[in-house]
Amino acid sequence: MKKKKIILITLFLCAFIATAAAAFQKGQVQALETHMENQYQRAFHEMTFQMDLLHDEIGSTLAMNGGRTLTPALTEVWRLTSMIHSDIGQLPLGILPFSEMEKFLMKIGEFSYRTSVRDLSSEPLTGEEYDKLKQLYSQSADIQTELRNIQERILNEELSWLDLEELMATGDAQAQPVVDGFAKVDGTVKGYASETFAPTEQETASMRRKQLQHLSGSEITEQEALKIAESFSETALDQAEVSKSMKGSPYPFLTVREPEENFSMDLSLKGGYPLYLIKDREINNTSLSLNEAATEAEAFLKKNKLNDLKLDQAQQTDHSASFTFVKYLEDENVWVLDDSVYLKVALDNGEVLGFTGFDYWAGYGEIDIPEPSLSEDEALSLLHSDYKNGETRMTLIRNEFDEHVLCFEFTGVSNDETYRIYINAETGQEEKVEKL
Amino acid sequence: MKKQYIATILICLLFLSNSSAANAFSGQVIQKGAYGDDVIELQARLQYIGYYTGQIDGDFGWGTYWALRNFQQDYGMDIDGLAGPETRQKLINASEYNRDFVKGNINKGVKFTHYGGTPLKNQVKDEPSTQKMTLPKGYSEKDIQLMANAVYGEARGEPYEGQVAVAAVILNRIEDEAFPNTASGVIFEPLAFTAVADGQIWLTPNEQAKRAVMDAINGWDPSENALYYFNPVTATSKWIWSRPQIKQIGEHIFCL
Repeated sequence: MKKKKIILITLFLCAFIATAAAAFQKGQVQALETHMENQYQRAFHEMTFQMDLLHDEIGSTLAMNGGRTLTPALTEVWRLTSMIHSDIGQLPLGILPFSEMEKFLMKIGEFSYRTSVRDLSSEPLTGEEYDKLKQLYSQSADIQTELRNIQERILNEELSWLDLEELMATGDAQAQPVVDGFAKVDGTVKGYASETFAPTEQETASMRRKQLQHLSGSEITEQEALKIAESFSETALDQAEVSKSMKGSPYPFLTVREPEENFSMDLSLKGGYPLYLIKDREINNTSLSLNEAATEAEAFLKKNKLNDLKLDQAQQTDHSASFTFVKYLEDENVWVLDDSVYLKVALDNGEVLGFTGFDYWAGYGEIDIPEPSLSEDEALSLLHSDYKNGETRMTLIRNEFDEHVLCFEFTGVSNDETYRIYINAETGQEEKVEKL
Repeated sequence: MKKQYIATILICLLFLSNSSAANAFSGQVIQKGAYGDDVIELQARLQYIGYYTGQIDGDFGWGTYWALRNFQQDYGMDIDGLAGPETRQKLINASEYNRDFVKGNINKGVKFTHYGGTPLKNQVKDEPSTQKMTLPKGYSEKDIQLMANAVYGEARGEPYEGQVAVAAVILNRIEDEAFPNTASGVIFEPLAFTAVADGQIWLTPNEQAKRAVMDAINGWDPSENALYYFNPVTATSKWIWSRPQIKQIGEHIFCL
């Protein structure tokens, strides 16, 4: 009798502990889920709120006409676009078509930044810029309304972002109202960007370069690709396979692969230009100095007829050396920093294990060097008095607005740190400062 | 007879080790970016005569570069920032190098200096030296660590080429306006990487993954400017199949 009682009590206790533990665990999972859901909700509601602010702020820039008040308002527009951008990045929209919206925001941001850093009292908004702002005002109103609609649905139907996330991860979120809402916003915005911000010449040029359409030459066959790869890399590729790029690539290319050698190389279909080369192997000792390896790298470039490149940077790491070569225009004495080639050399025998040519080919052939209107001393006088200059070069760089500008590149020391400062050789504008 | 032979070798060895200490420098032209014993000696000698004030760590960075150029200027040489035969000889004549002291302290990992005219024992500090990795412009050590974690979590079973390609996709996204502008923003974007979602990103990455990240930062892009990639066998999302595909590396299809 007593025994039975003890057994019963033990059983009861066991059952009780198990249920309690399960309940506790479930509570924990639930707490975590709520926590995540709250974070998503915060990001979303903050985004819609900031979209409201953005609309109002663009509106107030329209009402102003003086430079002094306009600059802070435009800066505020710029700040809001970057806040919204950051909120979007925190939402589980990974596979939702929302990229047009983000591109549009970036454009607004860029526009407001450009105008806000300008001295608006001496150079006020042009009529064209004013029209752009008006257009943005009405467009942001549309986006705002759409986002408010989504927000209302989320609140009214108590939709959870966590459920949404799960649906989206599997990709069957077709008939989901929120997904549709976002798709609609994105679709609306798609037209806006091209309507308001006609692509500039720079942008179209950079697009064209991205597609490597300016490269000339006839299409190469797989056999020819293999031959070029062998002579370029000085590697015997007996087991190599050649494959063509897939349909979605903006520029067609051929890939030569030799798994035995861990070798892989891409060549443009048109003209067979080497885009990149990789050869991975163990390097166990260092018998060449960095300087000797640089000589090997130079010889490699010369052998492959890449003659207008000059060594810009060298770095030794465990048994290998990396080099950046930059296009150097001898007649003008100008370094074109964008058109660069990267090489990796093994320090045991000087073999070239890596090559990247895309940037070089992308910029190939279209260089227009303006005449500097400043002398080196004039440019130097624009720098801070504490700065002690060490080296000067003439360089062609891309500034923050993606424009090619001719600059004096000054490398020197300020407060025990080395800085590189780019001064526009035509306008004297400080284009870029890098801490090295 | 045999004993004599061994003795000769021993004497030769002794002589060799002595002579290398006296001649110093291995004979290579030392340039910026180099790493190793010759750089240690270069820094120590430049410090001895007051040109170099930084840490003697064998890493030929900007500090060493400016010190060497100033030395070349003061001694009437061509100012090229390269330690060639003439520069090295003038430096040897002008300075001293206490190799045992310098190498000993480097091995002990303590802070020290090597100025001439000050007793050496006063130049050692009892605190650990700070190791500074040479980093590519615009990236912190932690950015690289984070990217290596992502690459390892996402593509550790892939060929090296495929790992570089994954790192390149992260970098392409940072550049692209439709994605966040930082490494952490891109990596931790919800639903962006499976390794982040299932926690595999917190596995400890190996050296290969780090190498892949460095190569991608240096400009290698086996993905040919891709923004997405997926494994066609395991991908559950229909959307990803609609992206324009560029190429396949290992298990991954890279697309725009």
